[in-house]
Amino acid sequence: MFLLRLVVASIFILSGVTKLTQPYQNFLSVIQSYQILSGGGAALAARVMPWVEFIFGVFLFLGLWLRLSASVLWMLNTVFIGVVASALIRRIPVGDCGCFGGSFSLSPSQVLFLDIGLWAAFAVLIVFHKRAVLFSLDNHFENLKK
Amino acid sequence: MNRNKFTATILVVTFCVLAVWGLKALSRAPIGKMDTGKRALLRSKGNPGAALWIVEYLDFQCAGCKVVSSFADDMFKKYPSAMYVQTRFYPLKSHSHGLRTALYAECAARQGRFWAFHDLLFGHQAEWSVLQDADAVFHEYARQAGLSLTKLDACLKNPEIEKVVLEEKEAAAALGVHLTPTFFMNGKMVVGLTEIIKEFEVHFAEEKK
Repeated sequence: MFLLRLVVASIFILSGVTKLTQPYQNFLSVIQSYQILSGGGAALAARVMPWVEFIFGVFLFLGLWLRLSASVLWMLNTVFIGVVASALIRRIPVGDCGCFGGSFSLSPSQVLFLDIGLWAAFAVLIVFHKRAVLFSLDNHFENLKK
Repeated sequence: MNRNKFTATILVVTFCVLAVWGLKALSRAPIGKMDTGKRALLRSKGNPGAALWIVEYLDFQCAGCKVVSSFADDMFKKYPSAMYVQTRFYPLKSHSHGLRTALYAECAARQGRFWAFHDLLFGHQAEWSVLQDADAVFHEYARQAGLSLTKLDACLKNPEIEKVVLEEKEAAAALGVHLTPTFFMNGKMVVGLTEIIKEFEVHFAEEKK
């Protein structure tokens, strides 16, 4: 469970940091290519989403606010599944999911499989929350209180 | 809230922000500039003294590039002295003919026929992009564009051509280019169809004032 937490957190950290260190215009273009958000909504999502992925990814990695971080990322992951599935259903020619900036490229169908796998991993982490807190800061602060 | 936990939260968030700033500072690339080298000039058109300088990174198999290129051409026809355009290659790995078309286009540029070949490639994109081997079709476009086919074949066999294209792509990646179409309009990076068209509209609306 501890390893699962680290793996899932690392994916979100990588995804967030690659977007944040590259020009924001690249991710904005990816968001617009899904044809769901446009204008200010797309710009806001392009600015905020990578920070949410990165910061909550780090929280999850360290086990800080574990349940909250897992829930936030799980919700984000659910949104990703909906967006990618809708692009596939509408046959929108999205060449690259843009999930990891330009570091490496995944097709929308590949990313749908990855997202579904992550969704299941989050479900396990949240349901078996007590086991996932091993080596976590949450656990450490709980022990300090006692 | 546990005070230690609150402090840890603040520290982690601060660390995250500083880490991103640090990484960004390390990878900060210069803004896109016009290449005044002889080779790049063969892929440039317009008025070098124009108020709008555009460096466009294209992949000839990318559907968005076709649309944006046609839009830029319309604007160019409308305001020929107000723009200077330079094309650079960014062949995407996901496109089977991306690199091959860039090689042909570079060879066309070396014969001074880049724009004619560029227009033929984009004009027939839907036809050749579905082919497994499109060399015969590209040769036909080269003939229509007025290229010497003997020189073209010699050029395509020259390993330097691929090196030139890939070096251009590498230099683009260092600028933060990862998608096509990416334009640098007066040095400002603009990515994707929607934003590029919006930027053109903003620029020419300001020009009219």
